[in-house]
This record gives sequence, structure tokens and C-alpha cells, in this order.
Amino acid sequence: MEIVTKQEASAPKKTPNKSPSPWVIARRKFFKNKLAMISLIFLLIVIILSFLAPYITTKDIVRVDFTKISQPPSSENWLGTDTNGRDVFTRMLYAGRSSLTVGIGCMFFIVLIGTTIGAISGYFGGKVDQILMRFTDFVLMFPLLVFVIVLNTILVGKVSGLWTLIIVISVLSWGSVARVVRSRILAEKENEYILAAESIGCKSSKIIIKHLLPNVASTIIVQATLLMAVTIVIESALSFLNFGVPADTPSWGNMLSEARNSDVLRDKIWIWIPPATAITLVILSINFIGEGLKDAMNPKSRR
Amino acid sequence: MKKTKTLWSLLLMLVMALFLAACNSDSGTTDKDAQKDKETPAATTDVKEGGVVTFGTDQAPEGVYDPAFSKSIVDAYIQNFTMDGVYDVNDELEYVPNLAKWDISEDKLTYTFNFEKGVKWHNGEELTGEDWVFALETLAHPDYDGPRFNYVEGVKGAQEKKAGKADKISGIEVVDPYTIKITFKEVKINNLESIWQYPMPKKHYEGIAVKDLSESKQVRENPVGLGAFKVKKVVDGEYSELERFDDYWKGKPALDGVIVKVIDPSLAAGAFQNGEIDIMDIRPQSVKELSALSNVRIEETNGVSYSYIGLRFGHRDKATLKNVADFDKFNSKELRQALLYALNRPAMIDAFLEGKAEVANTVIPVTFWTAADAKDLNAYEFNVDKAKELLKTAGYVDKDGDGFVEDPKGQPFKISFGHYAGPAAFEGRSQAIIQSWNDIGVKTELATGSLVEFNLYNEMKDNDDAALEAFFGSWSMGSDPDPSGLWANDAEWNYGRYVDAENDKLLKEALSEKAFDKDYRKKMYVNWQKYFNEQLPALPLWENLSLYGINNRLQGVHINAVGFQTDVYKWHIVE
Amino acid sequence: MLQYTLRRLLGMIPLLLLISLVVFFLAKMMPGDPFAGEIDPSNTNPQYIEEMREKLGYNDPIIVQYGRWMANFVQGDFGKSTVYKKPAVEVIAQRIPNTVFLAITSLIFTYIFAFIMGMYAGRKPYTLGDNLIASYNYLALAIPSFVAGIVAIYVFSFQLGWFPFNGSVGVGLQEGTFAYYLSRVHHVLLPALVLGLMGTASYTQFLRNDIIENSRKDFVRTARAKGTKESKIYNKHILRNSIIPIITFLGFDIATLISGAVITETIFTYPGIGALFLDSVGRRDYAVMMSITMLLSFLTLFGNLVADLLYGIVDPRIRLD
Repeated sequence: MEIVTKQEASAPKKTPNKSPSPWVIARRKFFKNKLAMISLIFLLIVIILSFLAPYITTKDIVRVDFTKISQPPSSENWLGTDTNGRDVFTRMLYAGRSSLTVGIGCMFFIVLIGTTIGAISGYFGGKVDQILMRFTDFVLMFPLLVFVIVLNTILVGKVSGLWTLIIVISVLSWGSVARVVRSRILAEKENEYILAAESIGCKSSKIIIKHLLPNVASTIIVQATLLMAVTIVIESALSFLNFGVPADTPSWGNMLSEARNSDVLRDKIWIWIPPATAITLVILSINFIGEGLKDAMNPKSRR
Repeated sequence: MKKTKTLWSLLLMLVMALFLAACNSDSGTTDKDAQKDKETPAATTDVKEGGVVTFGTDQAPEGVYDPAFSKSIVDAYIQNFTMDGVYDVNDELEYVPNLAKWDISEDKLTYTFNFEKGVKWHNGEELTGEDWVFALETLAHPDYDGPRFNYVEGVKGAQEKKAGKADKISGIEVVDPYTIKITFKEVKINNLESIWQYPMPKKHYEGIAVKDLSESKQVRENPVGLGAFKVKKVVDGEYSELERFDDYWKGKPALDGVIVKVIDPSLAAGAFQNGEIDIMDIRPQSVKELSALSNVRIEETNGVSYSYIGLRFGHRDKATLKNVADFDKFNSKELRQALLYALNRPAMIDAFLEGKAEVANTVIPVTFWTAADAKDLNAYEFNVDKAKELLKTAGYVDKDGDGFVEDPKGQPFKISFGHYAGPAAFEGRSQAIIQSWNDIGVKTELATGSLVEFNLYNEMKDNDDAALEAFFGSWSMGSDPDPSGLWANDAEWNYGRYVDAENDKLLKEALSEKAFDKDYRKKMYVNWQKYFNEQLPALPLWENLSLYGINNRLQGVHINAVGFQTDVYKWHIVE
Repeated sequence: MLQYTLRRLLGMIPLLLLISLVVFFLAKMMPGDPFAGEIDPSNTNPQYIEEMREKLGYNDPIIVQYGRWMANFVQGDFGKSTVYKKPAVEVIAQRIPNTVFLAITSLIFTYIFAFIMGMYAGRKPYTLGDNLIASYNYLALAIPSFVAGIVAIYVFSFQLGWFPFNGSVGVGLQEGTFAYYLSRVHHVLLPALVLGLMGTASYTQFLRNDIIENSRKDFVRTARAKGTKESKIYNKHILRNSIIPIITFLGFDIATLISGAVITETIFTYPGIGALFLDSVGRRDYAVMMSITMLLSFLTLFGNLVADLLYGIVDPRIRLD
């Protein structure tokens, strides 16, 4: 995605007099998509709030306050306090930092690895494809949740933390992106313009980056958005099962795990509704953005 | 070395620590028991014959039906329905005859057991003393692979058999099928308490080598017991169906059967509400929801378990099986006292245990007759100033002005505190302890940087991991009041590795021949507790209350020191 | 086709070896005795451990150990469960039917709902119905499955009392009777619905988007211009093209379902492989834990193979590569 956007910026400058490039059209279309724009703004706000948490609130996210255990929302604690007497709003912000880091980090690594391997495999075919796809199959064979838990059992007490989790998730889950990219490139490769490009001696890397990737970009983007959403859910699931982010680091998943206690689930909803809503809204907005991007970049789309 | 109760402790601790539910309780139903009123009228309503009740557990049983081989608390729950022991523990935590009565010889070394006649195994065979002897011999067999050898260790000749030097335990004499004489190695007040109490069905186990017993079908699939209920059907990971044993020796059980069913503890309240379960040992967190239900009563009692913070004094030499005190961080008594003064225990109990625990200043729960009176002990009430003052007198002052004290030599001082992972409350609890100590100026950090997975945590404690300088722990005492297995100088479960001459002297005294005099024994334990309370080799925190949720239709449940499964044959249903 | 299938099957062998190697080394890294389940993890006596290690051949070269382990595995000897003291394969085999039943039921729900929604949304894009379907799918994707599970239990089991919330079968029912099977279906419905309805999003989205995209392709226009019936265009021309990505998903779905089962089975206390897996992790029953890991990896590989073969049937061009 990163690469794609840069090209978008540079492409139109070279050809000012011609009709606007597909990327410019896409950008215009995207800006006109209200739902996607609202989502983008929402997501940006959440990201900014989360990453600037220490500047926004001065409340302690660690200190247990016996006098304030499980208090409902009030003017002092906007979203109430959790079972340890900590401000839920403050923890939400810090938790957003962990959860979004997991989401963004995983998405970046997965797309990077997945696209590279999928594109190379799909374009070159033959032996390269064979080897890379066997490798992809190999990676795809690891059931993600199960392996993260197994690795956790091994690594526990040695290394733990956010980045370990991100790397473990990324390394285990790029396979599906690679496969989808490959299958798209395989189909796209059949088109005459690629044959034409090949026949005039274009470099393979150029064909892939310039011609093939932009044409499968919509697929990659849909995958990427799905992935960011999925990894945030995976993080919360793992944390819910106590195999995710360490319990003392707030994350939306860790906050949600308090809902395992049915007393909290039924009677202290201010503790778990905020992280549940946050996850839901963030994932919704990510998906809307993805959808908006996809629509925008599809030259044949109506909107 | 004596391990009797500690093995149970270890077993129970596993559950305890995870679920914060103690396993034993006292008959003295607490004053707070508002449900009492509901109960009395209920008892006069129609008693229904038969019926099946569902017993909830939070984990799946492992499916070992002979107590000699099982390790899981859930298996123990099932065994409480299907097995009976030689002795019983009454409400006062005293040992009383059950399957056999006994006489003690003049020299206090030999016990003669007279077995009840006419007691039937589930397969119709009659119980004889030989079944019990068979169990004792099995436990001492070199090939025995269960964890209970220590229950026969004290019998004369058991160790020789274990080492393969003898075919039989020399201290056991079968006088006639109903009379068994057991001679112990040495005179000890708790010889009886430490002998294995469950007979094995000798005929049923016939022809199985001892080494294969623990995996045999007879132990795992078609067990034969003595208790009020017998195993009918087991669906692994889901439920075990027990049915009434008509020939139960104490009388025909009132219920038709019991289902032991696995329930996610977080769903306990809902399961009670729609009648899916009738009785379960519950977590403090469920109390509020359950008390809102009209069809369920909650019974709470003082348990035999307590939580503490262990402090490291050394390590255990695994070759000599001795504890060696070679770590001097906590050698200052004032420092240890200051650490306890710094903790607001009542607030922690309210915050993390829903108030379902009582502050303890000793490590013998009040349920025991040996427990010291609260008056004789320093209460260590939360007092930050006092804590700071104590630190100052001991020479722990802040010299470099960073807000944290340095040790008397002026070196930076820091405690690494360990806690295991579990339900959400654990994270707050560990943080509360850390911040309390930081507040009095003692710099404290969470060992390894995060809560440690429970199995690993236990391994770290076993191996004296350097990261655990101070560590959270819980013990359940079983029914023997002797704390030597946990706190004696060379005890394996003395995880802090506290070694002290006075400590050992007092504990040994309480097990000596003189201690056959009950008053003397109590005095010795009180002296030990006072010493413990003053020295604080570990910081006692609180005693956990045992909590049980019971559907009102189920009556006849007697909650006492052994748990909530005494006389299960009297359980009955009222409409 | 046969040749292709055979080639793919042969291609699996090195992968199986690789995966076994990974599992082996992971197991090797675990503390204690992850393979045979013969060393009692709670016995810390160093002498005992050393004796057992020697006896079980843990002091042999690593290659020898791997060879032995593989040989046992191929013969169906997965080691022994330390908890149940039974061969791990027995413990696992007991739970497999439950998980398979849950997986198939939820897959059926996923397919039915996703197909209906995807077809509808794809034919009538940007209508109210499409938007509602999209909203539902976005929400299903966004709500963590365990929250959905817990809430479902509260609403449908506790408040409404429609479904049981735990176990796989009612107590005391005789195997083989009609009531027994009915009870099993009754028990699987709620977890399967939660699992199934949460999984429709990717199918529906792909189906919808592909149908829309294909409906603008030249061949559709041609067909329309030729006066082909609209329903025939969608059902024959478009669907055939749109099914390709869906079919690649089937393979991955096996893994997703299994992973989902870990959570769902735990919440619903449904005694399948997933619950057994978490249980064995908690109790350090390594033989069971690693066998399940191995088994699930095989299943995933198998799923991928199936996906590839189906892909080959749908789009013969791919096969020729």
C-alpha cells in the first residue's frame, strides 16, 4: 500500500496534460466516499488519542486504588473504574496503543512478506513457483492460534511482550496473502498487455511492480484491511485465553478478559463494553476504509 | 521428613491458587449466614425419595478412581462419593473411627485396628483388613508409581520394602481378617494422621502387577469403591454419572445418583439459575450474583487454607535434602515487619476476594484447635508510618534521595516480587503488593516483568529461582494441624528456605512424645505461632473462606472441616 | 486430473517431513518429557529424571531420536498422555468426532448464510438489502467471537433457555438412541451458530465483490447482449468465476475453524480437540499437546490440498501450469 500511494503521488506530475491517472481518480473517489472518510477520520483520531495517551491523561494505569474499585462512570472517571480501581478511559487509551500496534505491525509485516512471495511465485511460475508455494503451504499448515499458544508455552519466562507477539503472528500468517496474490497474478498474467510488456523486454521486477501489482492492488488492499482487523481480533482472543499480551500491559483484549467473570459481564458493563466497542468500531472503520479504497481503485466501479 | 498433609496441600494448592476457592471448611457456619433462615423451613417440607443432583466442577476429572494414584482435585471430589476411609475427620478436625476403630499400645508404637464387619465393596465382596493391608503394601512397593509413599513411610519396615530389601512391610501384622496391627518406626503424635486410609479392592486388583496398576482398567475404567455411590458412566471431559450403591454400609443413600459435571466457573451463576447444577465450590467473584438468586443458598465457612508472601532466605540443597540459608536480603526482622505493616490487607480482601477472606497473622488457620488466639499475636494493622519507622531503625534509609531506601550498608535495595498468572484479579493483587512496598520506600519490581504461568511458577519455586526474592503463595493444610511439612527447617515446601534453630525446636517439640498431652501440644504450637508472628519468616496475608453454592432443593449437605462431602448418603431432595 | 492429484500428493511428503521436524524441535524445546509422557513432570528428583532420560533414550543423538519418534508416529504411537495415562492417540480419538461434528455443522451454517447473502448482495449491489448484509458482515467480523459466544450463552441459554450451554450431549442418554442424537444436535447448535455466523463475512464479501466485478466483464455484457436470461448469467457465467476464490478459502477454513474451535469449545465447555488442547497446555500434557499440533497441521495441509484440487477442477488453466 505504501508503495502504491507514492506512485500515485508521482505519476500524475509526469503527465500533467493527459487525463488524470487512475490513482488520482481513485483518490477523488475515495474522498467522495463518506463512510470511508468518516471511518478514516475516526481511525486517525483513535490512533492519535492512543499514541498520545500520556499527554492526554495523567491518571495512573498501573496503580491499584482500593477506594475506587469497580465504580460506575462519573465526572471524574468518565468510563468508570475497573475491578482494580483504575480509570477505564485511561486504560482504554493505553490499551489502544497495544492493540493498534499489534494490528498495524502485523498488517505491515504480513503484507510485505505475503505480497513479495505471492508476486514472485505467480509471475515466474515453474520451479520458483513450486518452491515458494510449497514453502507457503508449509507456513499455512501451522494453525495460527494453536502455534501461538505452543510457542507461548516454550517462550514463557524467556521472551514475551508485544513485539514477540507481532512477529510470531506475522511469521505464521502471511501465507494466505501470498496465495491470493499469486492466484490473482496468475490470472492477470494471462492478459495480453503483460505478454506485450514481456515481448518488448521489460524487466521482470518492473512488470511486477508497475503492471501487475497495481492491477492486483485491490485484492491486496482488501486482504490488508481484513488482516489488520483480523489480527486485532486474534490479539484479543489470545489475551482472552491468557496467551496474548502480558496481563500487566493493558490491551483491549486484556481488558475484555475481565468479562470472563460473569459478575462483570452482567453487572459491571462499563468495564468491558468500552474495549468491546473500541475493537468493534476500529475494525468496522478499517473495513470501511478498505472497502472504500477498493471501490475507489476499481476503474469500473460506479461510485 | 514428614510430608503427609503437604502432599495434599500441593494438590489442593494447584486448585486454590487458580480458583481461589478453598477446599475444606469448618462446621461453625458463619454468623453472616443469612441463608440459614431459608434453610430451616425448607427442611420441614416434603422430602422427595430418590432424584439426581448435579455437582459442578471447574475442571475435567482425570479419571483415576483410586486415591492412591490420583493427583487431581476433581478426581478427589468423585472419590469422596465413591470411597470411604479407615478414619474420618470430624467437625473439630479430630480423627474419629470410620471403617475401623483402633487401640494404641502402651509404648505408643503399635496401633491395633478393628475393622467393621459387613462393609461391602461395590462388586459385592466384603471389606476386610486385608484390603487395607494390600493398599499399604502397594504404596510401599518399589514399583508403585503414585505420589503417596509418604503415607506409609512412618510404618516400620516400609522403607526397607520400598528399597527392595524386603518383600513385606515388617510393621504390619494381620491378626485376623478384621484385626490389623501396625507398628510405627518412632513415637509421633501424628502417626495415625499420616497413615494411608483408603483400602484397595484386593480381589478386583488381583493379577495386576503394581507397576501396571495406575494404568489398569480396574483403576481407570471400572473402579470398585466402598462409598455411597458407584461410577456408572463416564463421558470424558464432560461428566461422570454416579449411581446409588444400595448396600452402602452406613445405610441406603437417599439420592438415586449424582452427576459430576464440568462447568466453566464464569458460567456458574447462570448454571445455578436454570438448575443445571445443584452444588459447586464457587469463587468469591460469583458470590454477588448467586446471592441474588432465590433458588440458591451460599454457605461459607472458615477454611484450612491461607495465602502468604514467601521471603527468600536461601536455597535447597537437592543432594542432601537440606535447606541452606545463604541469601541475606531479608535477614532484618524490622524490614520483614515493615513489609507487612505496609500492606492494607482488609482493603485487598475487599478488592480482590469480595471480602471472602479473613486477615491472618499466623499460618495456622483458626479452624484448627491448635490455632493461637488473636490476642496473643501482633495484628500488623496497616500503618505506613510504623513501617517507615521500622525501616529507619533497621538502617534502611534513603541516602541518595531517589525516594527509595538503601540498605544499611548504603547499597541500593530492591525486591523482586513474583506472582503467577490467572484470573484478572491476580494482576491487580500483585500490583497492589508492589505499590504498597514502593510506598514505604522499598523499591519493588515484578519478577520476570510479568505474571508467570502457573506451572512454570511452581517450577521456579522448586528450583529456588533467583528472580523470586519475594513471592505470593497459598497453602491448604489438609486436616492435620501440624505445619512442619511447610515450615520446618528442612521441609521441601519451606520455599523461603527459612532455617532457624528456635523454629525447629518448637515444631519438633509439638510432635514429641510429651505432645500426646493435648494441652501441651497446643501450647507448643501457640509458642511456635507467636515466634512466627514476631519473626515473620513469611508474611501471612489472609485465610480464605470456603464458599459453596447449593440449590435449595438439595438438603442434607453438611459442611465441615473435610469439605462439603461428608455423609453424602444423607443428601436428599426436597420439593 | 489424476496425474495432477498424484503429483500434489507426492508433493505433500516433504511438507509432512518438514512439519514433523518443526513439531519435533518445538517439543524438544519444552521442559520435561514432551514425547513419551513417561517422565512425571511433577517429580523433580534429578536422579529420577536422569534415569528416565537414559531409559527413554533422550541421551541419544538428536537424529536418532527424531527417527524413532517419527517411526512411532507413523505407526500411530503418539506417546502417552501424562494426565490420562492412556496413549495420546486414544485420548484424542475420543474427542475428534465432537470437533468434526461442530466444524461441519458450523461450516454448513456459514455456507448457507454466506451463499444466500453473497448472491443477493452481488446481484443487487448498493441496495438497502446489500447494505444491511454488509453491515451485518462487518459487525460479525468486528465482534470478537468469544464476546459473541458469552453473550449468546446469556441470551439463548440463560435468559431464553433454548439451548444447553455446555457439554456435547445430555446426561444419561444411551448411545445410539434417537434421543441421544437429538441431544447431540441440540448441544452443537449454539456453538455452531456462533462459529458459523461469525465466519460468513469473508465468503460473503468475496462472493459479492466478485459477482459485481464479473458482472461488468465483457463476457457478461456479451451474454446480456445476446439476450441470455439474467438468472442464467448469474448462476452460470458469473458464479463459475466467482467460486474460484471461495474455493481457495475452503482449505484455509479448516484451520480457521479449528482455531475458532479452541475458543468456542472453551467457552461452551464443549469437549472437542480445541478444549482438549488448551487443557493439555494448562496441565502440561505435552504428548497430547504436540500430537494435536501435529494433527491440526496435517489437517490444514490436507485442506490446502483439497482446495488446490478443487481449484484445478474449476479452472483447468491452473492445472496445466
